Amino acid sequence: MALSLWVMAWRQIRSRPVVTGTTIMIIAVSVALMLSISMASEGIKRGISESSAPYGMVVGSKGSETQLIFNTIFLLDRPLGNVPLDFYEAVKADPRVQAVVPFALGDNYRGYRIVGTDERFFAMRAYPGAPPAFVISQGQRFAHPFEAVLGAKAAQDTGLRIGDTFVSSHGTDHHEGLEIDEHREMPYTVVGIMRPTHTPADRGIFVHYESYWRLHEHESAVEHDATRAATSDQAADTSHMLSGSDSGDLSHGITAFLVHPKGYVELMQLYQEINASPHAQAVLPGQVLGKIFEQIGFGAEVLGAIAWLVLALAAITVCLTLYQSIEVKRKDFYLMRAIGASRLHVFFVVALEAVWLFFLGELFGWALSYVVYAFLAYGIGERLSIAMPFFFDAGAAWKLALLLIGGLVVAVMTALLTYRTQLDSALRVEAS
Amino acid sequence: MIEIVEVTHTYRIGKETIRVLEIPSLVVGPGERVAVVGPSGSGKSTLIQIIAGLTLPTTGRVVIDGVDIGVLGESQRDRFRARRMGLIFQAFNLLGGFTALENVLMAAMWSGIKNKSERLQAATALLHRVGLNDRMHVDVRRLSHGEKQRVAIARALVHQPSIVLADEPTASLDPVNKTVVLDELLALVREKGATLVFVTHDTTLLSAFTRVLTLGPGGVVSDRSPVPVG
Repeated sequence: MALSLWVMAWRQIRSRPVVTGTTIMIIAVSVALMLSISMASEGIKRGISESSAPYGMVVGSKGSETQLIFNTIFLLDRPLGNVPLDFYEAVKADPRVQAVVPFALGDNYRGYRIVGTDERFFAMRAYPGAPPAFVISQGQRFAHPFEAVLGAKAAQDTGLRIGDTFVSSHGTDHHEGLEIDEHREMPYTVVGIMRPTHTPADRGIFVHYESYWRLHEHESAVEHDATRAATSDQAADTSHMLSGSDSGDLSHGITAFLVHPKGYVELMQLYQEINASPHAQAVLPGQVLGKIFEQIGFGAEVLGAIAWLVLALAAITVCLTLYQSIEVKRKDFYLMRAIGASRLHVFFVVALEAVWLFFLGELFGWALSYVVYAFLAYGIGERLSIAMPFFFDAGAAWKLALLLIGGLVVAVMTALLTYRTQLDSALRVEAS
Repeated sequence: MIEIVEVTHTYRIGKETIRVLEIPSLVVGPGERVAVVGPSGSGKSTLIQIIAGLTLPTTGRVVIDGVDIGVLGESQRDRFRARRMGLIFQAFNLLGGFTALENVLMAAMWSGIKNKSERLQAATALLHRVGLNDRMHVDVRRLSHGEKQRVAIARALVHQPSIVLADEPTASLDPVNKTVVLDELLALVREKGATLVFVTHDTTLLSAFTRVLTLGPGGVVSDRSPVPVG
């Protein structure tokens, strides 16, 4: 039977389960908070980077570059205005361009964005030589206007299957019961469902961009007639307001398009030329995401600082808990001394108690941080379809090591208080 | 052998100094079994603590087996006590959360018995000897009072000390356990040839001792051999 000082310290903390459990919980929650903040920050960055990997240079109308990226890649925010079709055609025909992929946005079906594009969308890859990013799992790609391919999440949530039809609504947000926004005369038919990509594309409904043109040509004609019949019709105003879109006339335009130049030199030339033109702006997702990451990083730093503060409070709590337990266990320590334990033995038992508490607190905290991360990843995956990958956070190792050193300092400080306790003072309590 | 020379012990409460013990001279020879009696506050427990070196007298010297423990440093006194003495308390003072065997093993370990198997053998043998062979792996918090005090006896004797100091070890026990525990303690002390200093309030136990020391407010009131009961 090995009755080491480690075992003695362990038995001591086990003999007061409530205090021990509470102390370990405080440390664990603080550690989990600290680790999950940095992990979530890193996970979101990785998820966003993976989501934007297939997209090269994004071109859209002048305005917020962040809005352009969010709208085109992440299917969030509202679209900017349209890029003139002749400008799109000019870029497409430029000999320095290898491929362009058009995007028309501005309609939705029950909140799921309808993305007008063409067959080149399915040829997009994360990097040259990689497999296609977007693959059909059921049915086929759209071949004609008003044929739709659903992202995996959109298909799951809407319950639409191959052969089903649906009508789109104007705008990026779903307004329950507002039939006035719906394009009832021109329904879409589901012809394919995509394999899950764990990117925002899972929430998209992909159609040929000509569908948009035809819808909005029809809408313009109807609106023209209606305006002539009743210029004061309030519904028209409501429709315009609720569209929430600055997309303007979609009848012959493109909201944005991706450009894959032939090389780096061509990329930089096109980037400068497009930005110099009055018609559009070119945005490199990496640059915009870099700015977003800086914002995330700053937020994470602030939260991280708060987490360290919480952790410091936890360390003080442990210190107080141990000190209080020393008061309670003073008799035990006196007894240990009386039956032969030296001051140093008692010092080590108390110090090792603190080490046990910190070690277990950190261990549970580390495990808990992954649980918190899993919840966050699930929530963000559900809401934004950004897959936050699970990964081993190497940065956590040094944080935990640093914390354990901090724990040792607390342990030594607490143990010193015991070390300095004279047997005489214990005896005054004991002697009668 | 215990030699006490002109020992006094005082402590202060505010400006008042209170003298709790005054013993001009006392010698307890090897193998003696001494009962220490006296009213509360007469310094019985203080005497035990001074002999054990747990506290130092205000004046005077305590010499154990030729060693003046007052000149030893605290660590040296810890080691000296651990090797030469065994202590038994009224409130058992076992370490909760540890089994009976572990409590005894701890004392064996700190007394300087280096060999693990030797420690285990000595602890097991003593627990068998005090009738706890089937309770040695039980947490001491789950033992009865009588069993706890028997563990305390085993703990005090596991390292074969030359002196056993017992501070009212039978005070918390019922009459049956009181007799059992005292008999076991005396038998073991005789067996090991140790000196026993036994503080008690119970005058019915005195006949079991070779010498009775009565303490009073002024110090030692009497020092005599007991009159056999009946």
